[in-house]
Amino acid sequence: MREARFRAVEKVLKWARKNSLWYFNFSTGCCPDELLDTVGCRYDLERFGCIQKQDPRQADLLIVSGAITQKSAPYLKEVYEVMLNPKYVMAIGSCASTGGAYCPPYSDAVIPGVQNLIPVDIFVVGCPPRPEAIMHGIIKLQEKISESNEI
Amino acid sequence: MNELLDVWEKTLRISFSPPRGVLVVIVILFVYLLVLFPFAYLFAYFDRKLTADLQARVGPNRAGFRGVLQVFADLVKLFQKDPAFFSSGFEKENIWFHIYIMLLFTGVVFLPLGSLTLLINTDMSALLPFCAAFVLAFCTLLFSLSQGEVQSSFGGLRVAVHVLSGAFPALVALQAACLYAGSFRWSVISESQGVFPQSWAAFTSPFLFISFCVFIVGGLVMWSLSPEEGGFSVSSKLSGKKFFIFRLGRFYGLFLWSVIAVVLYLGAWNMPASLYDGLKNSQEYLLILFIELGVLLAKTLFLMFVVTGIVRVNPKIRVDQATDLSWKILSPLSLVSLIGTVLWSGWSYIR
Amino acid sequence: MRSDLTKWTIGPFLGFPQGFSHGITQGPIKLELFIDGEVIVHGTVETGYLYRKLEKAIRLHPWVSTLSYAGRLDPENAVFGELVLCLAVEKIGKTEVPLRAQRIRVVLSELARISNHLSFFVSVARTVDSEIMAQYVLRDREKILDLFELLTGSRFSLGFLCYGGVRKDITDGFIERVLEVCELIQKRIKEYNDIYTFNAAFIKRSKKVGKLSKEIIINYGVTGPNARASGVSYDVRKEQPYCGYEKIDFKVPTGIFGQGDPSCGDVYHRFLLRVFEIEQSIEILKQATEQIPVGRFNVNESVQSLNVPSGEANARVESSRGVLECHVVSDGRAQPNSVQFWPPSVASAAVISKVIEGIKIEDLLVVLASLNISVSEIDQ
Repeated sequence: MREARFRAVEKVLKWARKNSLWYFNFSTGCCPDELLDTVGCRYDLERFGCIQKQDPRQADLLIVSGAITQKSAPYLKEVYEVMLNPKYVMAIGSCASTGGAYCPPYSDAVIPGVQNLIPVDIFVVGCPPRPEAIMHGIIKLQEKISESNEI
Repeated sequence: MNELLDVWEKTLRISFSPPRGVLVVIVILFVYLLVLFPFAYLFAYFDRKLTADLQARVGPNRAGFRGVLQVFADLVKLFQKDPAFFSSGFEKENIWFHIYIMLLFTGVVFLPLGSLTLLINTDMSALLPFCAAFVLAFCTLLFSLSQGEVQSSFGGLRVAVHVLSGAFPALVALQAACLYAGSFRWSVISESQGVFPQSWAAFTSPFLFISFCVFIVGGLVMWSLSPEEGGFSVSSKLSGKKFFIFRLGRFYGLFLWSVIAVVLYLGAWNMPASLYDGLKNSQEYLLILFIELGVLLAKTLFLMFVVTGIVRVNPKIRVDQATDLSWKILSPLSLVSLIGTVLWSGWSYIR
Repeated sequence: MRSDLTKWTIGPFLGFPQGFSHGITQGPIKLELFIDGEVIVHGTVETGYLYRKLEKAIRLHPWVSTLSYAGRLDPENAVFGELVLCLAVEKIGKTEVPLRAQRIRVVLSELARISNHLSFFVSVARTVDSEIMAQYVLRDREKILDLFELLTGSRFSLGFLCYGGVRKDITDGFIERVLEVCELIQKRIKEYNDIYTFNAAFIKRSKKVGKLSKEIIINYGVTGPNARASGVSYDVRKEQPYCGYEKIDFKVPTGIFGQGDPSCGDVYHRFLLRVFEIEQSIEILKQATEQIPVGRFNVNESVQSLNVPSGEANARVESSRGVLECHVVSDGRAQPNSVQFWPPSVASAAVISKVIEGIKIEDLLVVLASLNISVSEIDQ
């Protein structure tokens, strides 16, 4: 009886979390262009409750878009640590996911995948990914949040 | 209930004897629970939807029917945020934040929300909300200075400068309106106006119309700087509950100003006299309360949307340009309107 | 140097007053400002947060793959990177590119120019806090991205050009679509004039802000729209025509609205010049689409079989940000010996420290956005 009530509360909390993913865009390289189009009026990311925040302290979702180089890696860690729990990370583009065209044999300046620095919840591949792919990534992340067990 | 309403009508002086103090608390709670919170919710939702519509977008539509629950989701999420982050500089920030919150909750005492909820109806009650706005701005300034970052200090200074420069012409305009009404008392101001637009203060004389425009634009200068969205954000370090309260404070400033504008210029909460008398004779005080509240809030909502619409559509001007506008154009205009109103009412008096 | 100034570091990712992710500089950049009250006295720029060793990666790849790297030099107008590399390599191999391919290249690069200028409007609109203007422009930019998608299958990194021509022929109906979009943009430019050019608030924010004099432009070697807004008339399309630009009749708008005007070269003029450039691009598009001849679209039968003889060549194109130069050295192997780019944003970024002197910090982002810098180009 009591557990059931708790479960209902849990559901509401998760629902709120997944429906208001305010994001901070850690923008390098080219994928921010596509993110800009996703925010734009044809795709309209705000339908999912996503608002861009200028400060990571107010954001729930860290969108890493583009290649993370050795020089900018410490900043990424700093931004991730500043964010408050519960927080999620989304890596957009091949460069952020694997290093893409700049992976180690060709270039050692780019970190081969953001997962080597910070835990990543969802990857969106593509170079750059289409807006539909980014939106699909958001939807998948919402599903992941509502299915997760942690509170 | 009747007795309570009678007391409401008589609360010119606030004494600290227990029942009256309790009454004040009840009224404040009533205003917050019944007016301010739902109104803030409605405004936030419609603001997002209308802004999206202006930008040829859809706006939030996933949370609830047409995204009605979006603001609720944001709220619940903000309250889930882990507050353990704050460490250094926390105490100083906290003091100013507590003052901010206290002001937010006590400022309601002088909100004019209908003839039955006038808690403070003195000979200078129309000026009190301005004091509240000043103190709110002052708290924002000190709060942002205590954050110790270049960016937030500039943000706080900017809020203070905007409020100061916008308040001067608005205050002079308010004097003109009160001169027309004959008093700074809320009840007198509302009684001097009628139900329909032609008898509203803003449309009775050209000078009052000027002062109405000055009041509107002064309010735009005062509240157009939204610290969350652009420019130098005061709120950049805030998160979770504090962010919510800060936003509520900004909303409260705009709301306070719009309510005053409606009461001064746009016919306040007046309903037809026959209806009012009929209800009063049959002792339907609650009905009166709600009708007045509805009339006032509808006008207020409309005014707020006009103001935010103008802010959304146009680029923001720099802070020095905004203060220039305020000191060099609005202030002389407001003085003209004041002098004009003096002459206008003096002429009709002589005649 | 005065000692009573406040030092304010605007980090590569954090600390930007309006958030950095608007694409104001298309990548991370670090500014160190010394401010006196609200006025910036002087400041320095640091780049290199996006250094990806592009040139090394190009050297390790076969000739065919180098083009996709060249496209990622500046992802927003990928065509120019590919085009300049193609031109240089074709110079080495002394390849005669078919006329049809040349015309298609012109069409693509003018479309990319319009698209880039529209995204410039977006970033300027966002720095003056007018999201509504940004959204309207984004809506029209989608139409151009649709054209790219129709022709090449991707929206940004096209990968459509190849040595000796283009990869695929244009499809039926593409030309009509291009002309439709031209009409649309021409109509929209009037609307943009209403919401930007004649908007009092926008004029207040942009006029007499971030002035670049002719001397600074020449000393720093700034090219492209930024230079032309200050009255320095230089356009590679006119000076050293490539891809058959010499057969197209068009004007290069150069400070036409302010020769001798003391405010010439400010943010407002940089904005206006791009409006004029869009009109000229539409003019070029109309002529180029008329003149597309029938014939081959590529010299080689297959894209994969490619022999670049040993040699050295230099090519320049007018990209939407300025003169993009490329130097290619080949020693006859399957991989290039060296490919070097000299992107236009380098000079534009060097001029930042000069242009921000004496402006208010509120204008900082407007000025940065008006220079239309791509950090991706600078850092390579």
